[in-house]
Amino acid sequence: MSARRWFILTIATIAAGVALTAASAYLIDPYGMWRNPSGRRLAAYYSERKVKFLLTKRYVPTNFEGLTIGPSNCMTWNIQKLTGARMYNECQPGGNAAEMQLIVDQALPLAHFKIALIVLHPTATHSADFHDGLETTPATEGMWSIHVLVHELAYMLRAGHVHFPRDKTPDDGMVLRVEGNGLKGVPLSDQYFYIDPQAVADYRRLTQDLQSRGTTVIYVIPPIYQACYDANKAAYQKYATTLVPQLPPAPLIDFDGSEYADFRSNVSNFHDCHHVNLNGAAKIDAILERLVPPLLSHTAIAGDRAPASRISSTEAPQHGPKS
Amino acid sequence: MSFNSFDYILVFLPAVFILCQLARRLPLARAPQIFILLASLFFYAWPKPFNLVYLTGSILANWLLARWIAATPQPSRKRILQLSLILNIGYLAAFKYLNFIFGNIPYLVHRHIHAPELGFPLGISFFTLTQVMYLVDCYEELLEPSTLFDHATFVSFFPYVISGPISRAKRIRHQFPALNARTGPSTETLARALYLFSLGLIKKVVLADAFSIIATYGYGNIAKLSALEGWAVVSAYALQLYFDFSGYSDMAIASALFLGIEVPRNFDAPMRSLSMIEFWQRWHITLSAFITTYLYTPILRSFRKATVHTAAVATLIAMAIAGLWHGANWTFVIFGTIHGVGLAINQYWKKSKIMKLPHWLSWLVTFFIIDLGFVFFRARNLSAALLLLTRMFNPHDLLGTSNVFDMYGGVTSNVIIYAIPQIAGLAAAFIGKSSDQLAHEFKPSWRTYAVASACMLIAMLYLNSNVAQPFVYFGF
Repeated sequence: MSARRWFILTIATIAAGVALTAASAYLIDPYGMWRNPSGRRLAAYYSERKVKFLLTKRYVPTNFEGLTIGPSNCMTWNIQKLTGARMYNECQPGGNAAEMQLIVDQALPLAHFKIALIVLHPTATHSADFHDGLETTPATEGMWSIHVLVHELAYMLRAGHVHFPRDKTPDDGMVLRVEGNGLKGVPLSDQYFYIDPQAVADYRRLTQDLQSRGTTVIYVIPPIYQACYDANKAAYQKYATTLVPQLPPAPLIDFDGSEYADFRSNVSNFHDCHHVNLNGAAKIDAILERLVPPLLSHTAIAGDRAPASRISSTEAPQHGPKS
Repeated sequence: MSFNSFDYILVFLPAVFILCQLARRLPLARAPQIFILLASLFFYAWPKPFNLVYLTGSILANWLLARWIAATPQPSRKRILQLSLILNIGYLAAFKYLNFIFGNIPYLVHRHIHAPELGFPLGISFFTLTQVMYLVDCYEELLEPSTLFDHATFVSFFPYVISGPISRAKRIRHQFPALNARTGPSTETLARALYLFSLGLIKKVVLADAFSIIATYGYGNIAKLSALEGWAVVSAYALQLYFDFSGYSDMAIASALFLGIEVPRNFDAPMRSLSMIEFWQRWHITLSAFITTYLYTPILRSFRKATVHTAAVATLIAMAIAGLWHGANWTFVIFGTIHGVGLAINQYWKKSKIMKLPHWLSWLVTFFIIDLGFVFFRARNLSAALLLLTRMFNPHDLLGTSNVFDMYGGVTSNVIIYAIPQIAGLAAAFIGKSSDQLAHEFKPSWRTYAVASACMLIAMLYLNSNVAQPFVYFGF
């Protein structure tokens, strides 16, 4: 082979390889980025973080009217609909406020979100660093990347009636399984409860962005298994009373309040200290369905334990939670 | 602009190549060189335009110093060289070592002094070394001082300005007529450049970054590691650095080849070395050459007599300085010293003909010393390095593997994405031919065509999957 032919052939093959993969990515469009995603139900492979980031560009704002936003605590919450709004679960493993803001920001120009549940937990605020390169993820990742290749491979296997042995992130973002750390009440480090001012600023901006577009924002403090909560009770209470006053006024549902003590003490509700299982998720869904509709007509709700009163003192009068 | 970015691969490099070819057709003499100089300055200024002031200032100052050296007879000539070296070292120290020096003063005078943060101009360690070599060569009359245009083109040449290979003016400057020739590089050269570039890109984007996730996890969680995991982490870092820097060097050499310029090779399968001497003949070859010629030899000459002992002392001093060149931290000095001790023992062993070790044992001992050095090279500080050493020799937790899954981010898909390149990387580092060998033996064939196409496609796939890391040597 002549060097000239080799050179041209190699360049042409590289170009053709990219074009072929990109063309098949366009046809499969696993993240609903290139074709109209309206009415599609897109469950995607690869890490939940990347999947949710890419799906939120077009698929989520086109097909959902509500969001559950937070760290992994809420990943297993199975809220299909709330006050008539189809809910998408944006909760991220290890997700923090900065990442949540980044993810939701890209949906806002297209979205008409009616409701957003923002989950407040220390993992969301002890750092404002981005992980997995979310902040530099280009749209072309939905066209030509390892995860698109995984979809293309799965598509080909399915066409050949071969099972592809991988889980997908479901089309509503709710994840069935999370990595569990057990149910043992262990004191957590001060670092775990550290509140990064930048993360608070990100949470604040996220809330304000949503509220300015007419979205009803509701803060939710997620349930923590009682033994685990008790091992860090003072720290959790201090965390809530420090963080909530710094956020824009909005109703608060506190699952660490005393009226949910039975729920938190029931081991059958939990996968581990910080994550509910399917059983617990169903109960959370029922509670939210009961509590949220009145909030849309400006009725405030909160747990009745001591910190709630501290929280309520910082809320705006029309949205302030009752203790 | 990094070599492992689409901006460079798809826009900058092809544009420079095409425009350089067009410049060759212009009636203006040396139009390609003018264009390359402008492109190099643009490349350097791209991340932070103000850095251009540091680069051009250094170029101008050293060009003037070289002319002054050339125009002055001995013995004043030597004084001017000494002044030039002090100025260059001072310039480097101002950006790199000032806070390190002041940070260590409290141990002597119990007073904290803080130097202003001047930032760190990209590539300052490399373009300063390049110009130190140029000044010494001019002093020793191995080289006539260049014109400012030639000197600026040589120093700022974009393939090596940021991280080498450290090139000597003599070698590059004599290629400028070829750069300015109407014909340009042959298609054989272009094909070889593309082949080498594809090998370099996959080494960096796929292989180095696959090892980096183990190293990053390990160095961030030293206290959790078992002895086995500790050794795995340090070895992973050694391989990460090798693929990262040799991949970078391959891309630099290939980028220069596209323009018809040959820059020196920098790596030659160092992980297969059977001795420390051999390792430094294969690892960062251009730096080794600099250390030998411009550090070791003058230090050795400063002793009255060259013996095994004085050679050992010279090696130790030269390697400690080379270690410090990497960064302002005692960890780098210890890294250099470990290699210095290894080299000195190796020289003594060779000279005394003590006994010949079997190949596998020679390799194992060499790799052990390399790993030991990298414990310090990568560690954030001395205490982290010492903690890692205690983990690596911890008799109470020898074979624990509880961190292995976490090393992959606790994600099963990562195991697939990274484990395959890691296996390929182990084979490439310890068994396969070096990319330099492959490029030299390159012949346009279906096999090389398949290799280059596959390497480029896979590397670009990883690159666009947002898993690529910055080059390690950008930090030096």
